[in-house]
Amino acid sequence: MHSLDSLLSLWEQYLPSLLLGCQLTLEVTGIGVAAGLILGVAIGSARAADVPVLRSLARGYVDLLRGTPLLVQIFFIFFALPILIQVNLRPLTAGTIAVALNAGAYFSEVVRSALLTIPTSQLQASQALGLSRLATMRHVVGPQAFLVALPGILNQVTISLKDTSLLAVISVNELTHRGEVIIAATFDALQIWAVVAILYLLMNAALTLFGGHLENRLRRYTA
Amino acid sequence: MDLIVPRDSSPNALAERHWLMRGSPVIAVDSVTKRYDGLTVLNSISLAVHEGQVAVLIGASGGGKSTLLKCINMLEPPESGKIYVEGADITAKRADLRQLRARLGIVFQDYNLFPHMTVLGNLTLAPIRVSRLSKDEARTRAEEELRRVGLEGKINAWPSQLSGGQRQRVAIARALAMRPTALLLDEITSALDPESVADVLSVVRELAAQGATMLIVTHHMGFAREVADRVMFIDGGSILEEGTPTEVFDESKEERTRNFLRRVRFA
Ligand SMILES: Nc1ncnc2c1ncn2[C@@H]1O[C@H](COP(=O)(O)OP(=O)(O)OP(=O)(O)O)[C@@H](O)[C@H]1O
Ligand SMILES: [Mg+2]
Repeated sequence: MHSLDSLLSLWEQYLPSLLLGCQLTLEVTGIGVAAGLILGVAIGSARAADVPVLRSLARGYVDLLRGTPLLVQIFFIFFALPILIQVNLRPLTAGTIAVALNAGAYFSEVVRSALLTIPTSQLQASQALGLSRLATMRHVVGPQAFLVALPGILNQVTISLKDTSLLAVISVNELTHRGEVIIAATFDALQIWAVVAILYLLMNAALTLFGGHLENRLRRYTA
Repeated sequence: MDLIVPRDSSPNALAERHWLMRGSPVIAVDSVTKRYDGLTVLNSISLAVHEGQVAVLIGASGGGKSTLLKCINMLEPPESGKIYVEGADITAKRADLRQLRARLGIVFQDYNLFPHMTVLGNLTLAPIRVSRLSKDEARTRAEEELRRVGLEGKINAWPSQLSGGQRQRVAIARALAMRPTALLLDEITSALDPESVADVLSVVRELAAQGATMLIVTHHMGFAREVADRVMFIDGGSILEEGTPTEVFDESKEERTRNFLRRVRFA
């Protein structure tokens, strides 16, 4: 067991490195989730669209990405893609792309089911006023669907944040990987993994808190 | 052409308003047929609504009244037949649907206000996005239309904060804010309590008195008799009988019309 002194010095020594890991974890999550959201809105709209070809393509995408493990997707993009097409991606780039593509599939399901909850009568009311399909999407259906989708989106963001830990396997220097490296040097698995877990917990707690606030604000008046 | 035209009630002017004697109608429906999965809901229906005229559609539930109104602004495209709005064929392949829809105001039974916008937002969305008014112009217009329906104090309220009758009056104001040439009203009082019904009907009555062109679906026969220039009884997807309120309500020629009227009177 550690004395209090040695514990404090351990923290002093390694916390800065772990915090840097947190920063990269948040960056990968931020970029991955933002790109994934754009993808999810596109795919989710395609799945709700009236065009059969678009619908099947979107459906295929979702099935493929939900039906395979993220770890395999990461390996595929990092190791297999360079063989298939002549591009060599940096681990960070490959990993972020994998997180984005994966989150996109789940976001699209959230978006699709949110779109289905908006009654046709809202669409009709908007089109009856002369608004185009696009304007109806943007001003009437979109904002209402967003409110419905918000809890599902936030849920996927917390999942994606945890998913970024898989990037450790291709040596992206995010939180989990830094933990591994420190343990390799100190052999202090118990302490370091506990700290790593607490840091993930704190990041997600902050996210959930922020999400709750956002939801309350947006929901203030809508029935 | 504006929705509100001054109504001259001298005998000559009244005679002139008779639909057979008028020029081209604001709304003309020509042999429109509409089917839903093999079920013929509208069967070669034809009708015309002229400027300043109030036409009332009556008929049993499921008779196709709502479908007809939705066909008139192409929310439900008909299988065959033509529909003209101010002479323009709205059923034509290359018709500018957005422009034509903007010229017809429609109000639905369940209001269909946009719940994520305030009353102001509901009233200014289309004037800004479709008619390209500035924010200030749209706001002025919204205030004007809210005054017309007696809700000037509710401009910043959210739909969820309004009663049913207030929501329906906002929906009417929203349609009016587009300055349509005609209004289509689909059973706009059937979701309301009696007191709110009176509020909403008095707004419609006022519009009629100001010369608005309207096609109204209603189950209030007393109200129909009072505001209608023409009454049409729709049954089995076609117009079985039409005429002045007196002709249809008191001197109906069709047994089916009389049966329907008897049923609603005792309802
Ligand atoms: N989207 C739809 N799909 C299939 N059938 C429909 C659809 N809309 C309406 N119908 C059918 O068309 C018929 C006419 O319906 P419509 O709503 O036009 O009647 P209505 O005269 O307005 O009745 P009510 O007085 O109850 O409002 C009904 O039999 C209805 O079931
Ligand atoms: Mg109806």
